[in-house]
Amino acid sequence: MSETFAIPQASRVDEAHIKQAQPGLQFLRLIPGIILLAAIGYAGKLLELNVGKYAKAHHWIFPNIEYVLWAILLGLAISNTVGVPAIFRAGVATYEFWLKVGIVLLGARFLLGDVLKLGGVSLVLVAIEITGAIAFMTLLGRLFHLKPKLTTLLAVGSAVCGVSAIIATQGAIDADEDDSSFAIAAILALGALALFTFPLIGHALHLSDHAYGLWAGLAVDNTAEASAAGALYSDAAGKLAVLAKTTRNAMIGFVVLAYAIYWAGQGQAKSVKNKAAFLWQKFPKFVLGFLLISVLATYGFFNKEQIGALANLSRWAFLLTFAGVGLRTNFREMRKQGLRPFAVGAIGEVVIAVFTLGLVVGAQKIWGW
Amino acid sequence: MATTKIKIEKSSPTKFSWDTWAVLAAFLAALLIRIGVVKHIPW
Repeated sequence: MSETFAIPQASRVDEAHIKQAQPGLQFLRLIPGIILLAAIGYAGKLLELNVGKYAKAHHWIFPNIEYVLWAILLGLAISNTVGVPAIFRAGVATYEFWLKVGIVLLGARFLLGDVLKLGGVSLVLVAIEITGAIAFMTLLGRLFHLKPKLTTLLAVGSAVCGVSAIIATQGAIDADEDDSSFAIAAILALGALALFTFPLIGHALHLSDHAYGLWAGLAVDNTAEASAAGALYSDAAGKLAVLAKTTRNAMIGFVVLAYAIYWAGQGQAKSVKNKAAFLWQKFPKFVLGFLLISVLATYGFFNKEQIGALANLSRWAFLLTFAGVGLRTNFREMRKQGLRPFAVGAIGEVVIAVFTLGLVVGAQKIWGW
Repeated sequence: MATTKIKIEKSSPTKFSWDTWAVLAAFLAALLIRIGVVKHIPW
């Protein structure tokens, strides 16, 4: 089954989501892009190792730039100058696949008790964040006279988990493809900005790794950008950002179901017959994979060396993801999108970022991190 | 506005999603490490 629709070029990068249904097909087409992701990621690692040494040897004052930022910058440079040649695009779009592999394997670095404790804290904050974000984005959409379904898509994208949530909601509420494209473009553009602003704000406010990681996971919308924004701060913050973001992702089914019921009640979407099946269909399965690996690691299924190997494999998977984040971000294309959805998204994101920062600082005081 | 046509493949109930493939790939890797086929992953 297939259908074709027009989508802004800025959202071309979301082929990974769009092609969810046929991962096994045309495998060979993916190889050039995967090699490009690996090459950029590895170049980022080499630059981290060597640029600092070179600068020190020549007595230059040069900030220590980590591989995460190098990989993103290299990807951005290619995407925004020569562009990503067609032969690489299918493989580059697999960055979401590597992200999910990385998240599942990251479970080995979390003991189940930590997951439950931190996940519990995250869950409380996520519930508050989702409620506040949806309410605020809905209000903002009305103030800017956006179409109601576009407002819904922006609200879900900002509140839950970016592009995946928008695509899931679009199908569930029968929204226009154009609305979905606008919402995706706005979320991606704002995610790219967050990559560079969040670490600066975190350092300026002297946030702990714990608080910053939680904040990035709560406030940055797309999972890839949230993971990268966390890892740009520190390894520990990256772990926390992934955990908080994964908790947010786990909520996607409930939020999409609520909107599907609402729009069906308005007579503008199909009704949901089997709610449990709907929830399972929308539930991100990598969350279960992450939990299962964490359980196995906690109960000694892996020894220390094996956990180290799993952790390193997770880092490699994330490295490919970060290269993909840079490669799929094209500022020129993003500028071509409509201003109003972007403005609504931008205002919403700033307010959500401040709101979640307040939540995290409050939680930090309560739990004494 | 610049647009491009993208073919969207809808999932069939018998096929795995990217999501599921990612979980399976991660578990396969974990199994290979667990049974000692892969002993060390450098970083």
